Amino acid sequence: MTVWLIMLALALGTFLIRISFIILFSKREVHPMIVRALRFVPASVLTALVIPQILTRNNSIHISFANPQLIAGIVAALIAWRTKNVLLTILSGMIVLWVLQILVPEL
Amino acid sequence: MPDPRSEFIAGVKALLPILLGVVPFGLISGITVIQTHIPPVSGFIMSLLVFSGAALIVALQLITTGAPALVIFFSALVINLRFMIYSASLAPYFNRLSIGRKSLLAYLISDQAYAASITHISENRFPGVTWLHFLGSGITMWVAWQISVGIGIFVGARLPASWSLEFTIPLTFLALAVPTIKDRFTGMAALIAGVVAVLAYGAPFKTGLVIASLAGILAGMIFERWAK
Repeated sequence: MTVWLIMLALALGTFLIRISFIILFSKREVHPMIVRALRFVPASVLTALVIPQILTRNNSIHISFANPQLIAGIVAALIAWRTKNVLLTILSGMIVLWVLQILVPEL
Repeated sequence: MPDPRSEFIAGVKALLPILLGVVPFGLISGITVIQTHIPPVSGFIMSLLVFSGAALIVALQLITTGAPALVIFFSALVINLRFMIYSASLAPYFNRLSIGRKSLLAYLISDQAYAASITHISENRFPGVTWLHFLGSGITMWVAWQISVGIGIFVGARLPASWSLEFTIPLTFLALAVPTIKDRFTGMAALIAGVVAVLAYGAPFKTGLVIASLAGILAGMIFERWAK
């Protein structure tokens, strides 16, 4: 039940975010401070989301090259930077992870 | 002046190449949904309601850790704050439409539809019908997304755990995150957000994501002001 309430609130909240400026801009100008802040949203939020997920193994953060996910993540980041291709990024990261898990099973 | 139909079809065509990245992400989102032990049909309805893979995944991950409902809500919402930028950017071209059409177009806002359509829309050569281009790419994205999430939900349960498929989730976000770093200011925002996210990993009530995001946004703004 709580799950459904969260999802309904999330659906409504996401819709309000999506329609926000489409409605606001037809009425009045938006504060320039908000426009400036918005520019930094994607880089901040997505990085804050990604970094801990890549470093987390068994529910705790491991910043070490003994963490195969860190190596796979670095390779995938380089591929993402060079190619800007989502599919290539996922594939390269997964292949590096699989190879490491096969070669060094104790990791 | 092109007829409305060809403008719509142009929007559909603009999105098609992006599907190569959409389908795997949708499949993975679907697989994540069932990993949280949500019944398949419920998971699919949630995907229809929220129509945001990133927010859905984060919300479901936090639900399994037993985080408080408000924290789950704000964490997932902060991820979708980026849609506000798309909303601001598209707003001038949707200005004269009815509230019904505005609502439909708003619901269809996604990273992919925005990316596929914005160049054409901002040229705005045919103001009366330009919105149909976004409608075309938006609907194409929506259909492809929901189908791949559905397949992930109903088929994904049978994939073995040893494949570490859950790692495709951070990789997908990584692929979306890297291109958002466009200059030293957005780079600074990302750096601070990443560092704070690691430091705040154990923050109470799983508030790390929200704290780190705000820190990154603030760092970017301060650095930009300081450099000028």
